[in-house]
Amino acid sequence: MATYRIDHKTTYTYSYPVTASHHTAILKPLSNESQSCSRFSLEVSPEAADLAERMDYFGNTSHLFAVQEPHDALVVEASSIVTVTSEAVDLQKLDTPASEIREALADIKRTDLIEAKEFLYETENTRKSDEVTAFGARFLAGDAPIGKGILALLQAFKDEFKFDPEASDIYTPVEQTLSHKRGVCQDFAHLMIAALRAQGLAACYASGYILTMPPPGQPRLVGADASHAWVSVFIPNSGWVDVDPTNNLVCGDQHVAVAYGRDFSDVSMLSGAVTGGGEHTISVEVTMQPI
Amino acid sequence: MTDAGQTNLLNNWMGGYASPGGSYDEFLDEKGQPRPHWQSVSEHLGDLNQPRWERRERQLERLIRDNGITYNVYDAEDSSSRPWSMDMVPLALPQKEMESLEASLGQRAHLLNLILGDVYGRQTMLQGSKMHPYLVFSNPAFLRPCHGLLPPRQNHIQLYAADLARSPDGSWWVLSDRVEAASGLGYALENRMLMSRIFPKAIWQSDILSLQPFVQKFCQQIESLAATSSDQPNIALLTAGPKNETYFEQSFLARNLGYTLAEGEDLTVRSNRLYMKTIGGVQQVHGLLRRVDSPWVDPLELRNDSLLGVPGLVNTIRQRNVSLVNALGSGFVETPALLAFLPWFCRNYLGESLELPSVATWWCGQKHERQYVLENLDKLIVKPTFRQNGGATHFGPRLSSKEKQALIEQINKYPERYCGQEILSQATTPVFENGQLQPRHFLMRVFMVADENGWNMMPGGLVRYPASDDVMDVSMQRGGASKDAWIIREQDSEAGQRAVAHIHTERPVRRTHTDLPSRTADNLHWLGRYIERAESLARLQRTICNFLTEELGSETQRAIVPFLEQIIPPDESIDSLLDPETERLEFAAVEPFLTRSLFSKANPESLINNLHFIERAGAKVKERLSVDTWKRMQAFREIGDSYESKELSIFDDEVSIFLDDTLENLSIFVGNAYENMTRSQGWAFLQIGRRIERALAISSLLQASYSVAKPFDERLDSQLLYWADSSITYRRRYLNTMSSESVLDVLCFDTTNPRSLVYQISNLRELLATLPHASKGLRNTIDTLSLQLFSRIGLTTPESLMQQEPLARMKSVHDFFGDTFKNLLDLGSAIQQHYFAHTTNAATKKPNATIG
Repeated sequence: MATYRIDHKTTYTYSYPVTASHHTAILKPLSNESQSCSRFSLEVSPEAADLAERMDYFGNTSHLFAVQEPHDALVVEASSIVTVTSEAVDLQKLDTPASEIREALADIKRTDLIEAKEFLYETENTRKSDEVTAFGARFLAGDAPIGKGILALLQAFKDEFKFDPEASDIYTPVEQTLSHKRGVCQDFAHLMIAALRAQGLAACYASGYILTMPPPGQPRLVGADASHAWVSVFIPNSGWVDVDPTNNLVCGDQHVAVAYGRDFSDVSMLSGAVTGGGEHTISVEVTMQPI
Repeated sequence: MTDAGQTNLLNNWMGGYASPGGSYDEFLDEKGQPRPHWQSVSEHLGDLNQPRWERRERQLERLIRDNGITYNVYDAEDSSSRPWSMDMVPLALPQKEMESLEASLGQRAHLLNLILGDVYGRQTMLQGSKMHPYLVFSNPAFLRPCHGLLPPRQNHIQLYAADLARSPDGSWWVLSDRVEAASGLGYALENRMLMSRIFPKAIWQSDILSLQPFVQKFCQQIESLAATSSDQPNIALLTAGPKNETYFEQSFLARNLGYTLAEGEDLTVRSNRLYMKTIGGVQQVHGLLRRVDSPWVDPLELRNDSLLGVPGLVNTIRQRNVSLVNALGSGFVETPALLAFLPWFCRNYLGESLELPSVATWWCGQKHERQYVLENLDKLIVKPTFRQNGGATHFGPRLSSKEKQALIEQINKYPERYCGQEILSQATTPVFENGQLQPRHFLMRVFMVADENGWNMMPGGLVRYPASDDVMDVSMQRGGASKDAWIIREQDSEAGQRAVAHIHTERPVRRTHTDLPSRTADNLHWLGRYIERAESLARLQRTICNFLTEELGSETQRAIVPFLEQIIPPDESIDSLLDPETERLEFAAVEPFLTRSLFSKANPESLINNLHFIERAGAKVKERLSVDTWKRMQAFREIGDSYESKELSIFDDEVSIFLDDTLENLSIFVGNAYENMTRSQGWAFLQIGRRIERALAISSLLQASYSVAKPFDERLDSQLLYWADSSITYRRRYLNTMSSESVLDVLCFDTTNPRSLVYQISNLRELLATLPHASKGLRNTIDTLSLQLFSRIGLTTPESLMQQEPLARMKSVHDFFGDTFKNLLDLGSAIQQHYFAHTTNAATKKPNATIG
């Protein structure tokens, strides 16, 4: 169990003034059986008009707001305190054959699994292709035990892929991540989801934060962290298990989830439509501190 | 109808028609006898002899062209529009057949509403294991932000359209359901309008049911839905703009229903309400008739790459501050694979069997169905399960064995991405082609609207048939044609009599006043400016041509220099064209500039380009222009196209024909606008544009003419009068004495001469006083500039400009016209700033880029 204070500040700077803008923020950490968010605040400058909170289709909290006055910079600051109670699941012990899960999810009569089926199919960011299918099949074809298969898949990301922020943008297709073997957390999460779904398994995209350890002997730098993305896999009888392909680990109490969706596009932390503005630059500072 | 009437049916040229036999034909029964409900058609059409028929054909062609009835075709390069194509022979159906279709389609529309209510609500159908979750969860038409968007029990579909085909045994099948943007209603109404113009007697005197009551019901329905947020709902038709394939019918519908045609940029969301940006400020909109597909209407919550939508619109609906017809996300039920599940839904939800069958459909995501499709590929159409994901439609019988193999492989690999559909054999109806009637397959799109008593079908429809009999695709994209559908009233039907009696009733006059959308004002303003630019340029060219022809041998040609200066690019010096000794023009050097200013596509200021600009600005405000005014747009396009990039010598006859044609059409346009445009805000903006541009042209030319040190060439004065079409005004006033002061007086200070500078400025002042800010008693830069222009010219006289001393004259002329010119430009910018600045609305997406 661990409790964190998370400060997430996003600054947009525009080359021309923006006359009006509308935004969606999915920044409030979830409260569920694994974690609870005891405090949350969202501050917008210039002041937001029409701020409304709602629960989206997937059960995430989203905030809608508009800025009606002309501005050349927009600052959105989210602060929260979250206690994480979950512990890493021992995947070695989960030995249900993948084939069994696959068949259950494909069975139209298994209406008890309907919620998982929402995350069974490819999306625009997790397209199925021959290569993606073959990649997933290396670990989870036939009756491979589910736990070991997922661990091997995570290991493959560590062994074969390189973390490289220059290699991708938010629109990088999974095909490219797979062939270039490079990317960031979002690319790895999308590829892993696509590979799992191509094997008939249900997986969803998690957006949130991870506690990064400073190198030994150095102080934690404020704002050095970034938002993070990982994967949640559905395993009947165990439920959803969160795993992190970027860090080759099964999530325990170092991950704080903000939202789950089918892919990035469902849970983008901040998005908006602006009138005017010209070019813009973004700077993001995230600080996650244990308290 | 007597027996004699019956036999008469074939006593005309329509008797030459032979149906293929062995299958249902709309006109002839199985014995080869005309069906009784074709009596009206035969009576009114069949009696026409060949010349009279051909006259109507020409009339139809002209009507289509003059009304600018088009269908935009997407080409690889750029989109172009194709003239509408309608067969003069309608499809006739008896009223009772329509009533039975109305009942069974009503059941279907009701069912589709239930499905939408479920999928965007409790999703019980997924619990029932009959509906495959893939078809919901993977469906691009299932829009998650629309889940729970409507209050429970509110219907998603208000306007339902279906494509129907008749099978060889005479029964009807539904090929597809159309609810996302239900296009075609405008074209159906347009077809009826065309038929009533070419066969007025048939439409007014016979027993064809009128479409008007349906249109009224449709409006009432939209308004009652919007009325939940206002007693006097303001409705707009949301369009994707002139490039959309059915833009013509959208503007036609908007005009006919009396709703404002709005693009996403015309609208804005503030405080969770939807507003239209108008020149008088923002005005709340309570209802949208939506012709933009759901995923594109809100870049904030739906497709973030959409430039067609309004950011925040979805939340505005969620707050119940606006209603959309049809509701967002309705397109879900257009998914072809759902057709396979409809009978089950019907039994399950309604406890009834589906009255009107759908075309048989097999979704390959299911094992048995996939097997069937693979085994019967030769007899089926294979479609992508979700057309939004791309992919071609394969026509089984036409596949080569190689293509077939490739398709089988794809289906086996990605079965869920495909569905198979039966190829229907179809009934025939006569179409007029190559001088005679020929049997042809067809589809009919029908329209339904709900009111408190249930679903009502429009007694008519849009009939489409393929370009030739071996083409299966009726789509207008592939060159198909259309027909009107006539529903023939039963003699004893009371309902029918009521409907026919309604034929003359128009919609009640709308008193709700809506201000002009800013973008429309902007386009009208520029339309006015381009019109005047084109006119001024054509007059300059005509003056130059005349001068050069008449004064070919004269000693000095200096008099034409000020005119040449107006068309020569600013970085070119006139000196290089004029021999300083002889003052004669180097004609070979001058001519390229003249043709460049007329025909060059590369020169943005050329006359050809101005004509294109007129047409483009006009197309954006088409719904504001009367039909006759609009006809000129077509003329400008034709002139522009036929002369584009021509290499003509300016002495060619064709050039003077071109100039005369252009000027004639411009003056017809302006005359039509005078006669037909209501003196509303739109009129003011059009006129302001014209007045500013004409004043600019006069100032510029007079400055170039009189701010010179050399003594005047008196031929210049007569050329100026000729350019300004003011020779007669001048002669009436000054008889035959020509003096520069008098010419300047006529062209500049004569308040009664509509081509004088002072006339433009006074008229501008009057027009500007009618603008919304002025009528609210507010003053801004626009008024300051207008007052400056007005007082400056009011305090100036010809004598004060035309001083004896050449340098003093040069300066006073130069300053006066220079200042006026600058003030006019500033006035244009001030209007732009004040009234159109907020029309720029480039919604850009700002994704969160930095993540680990």
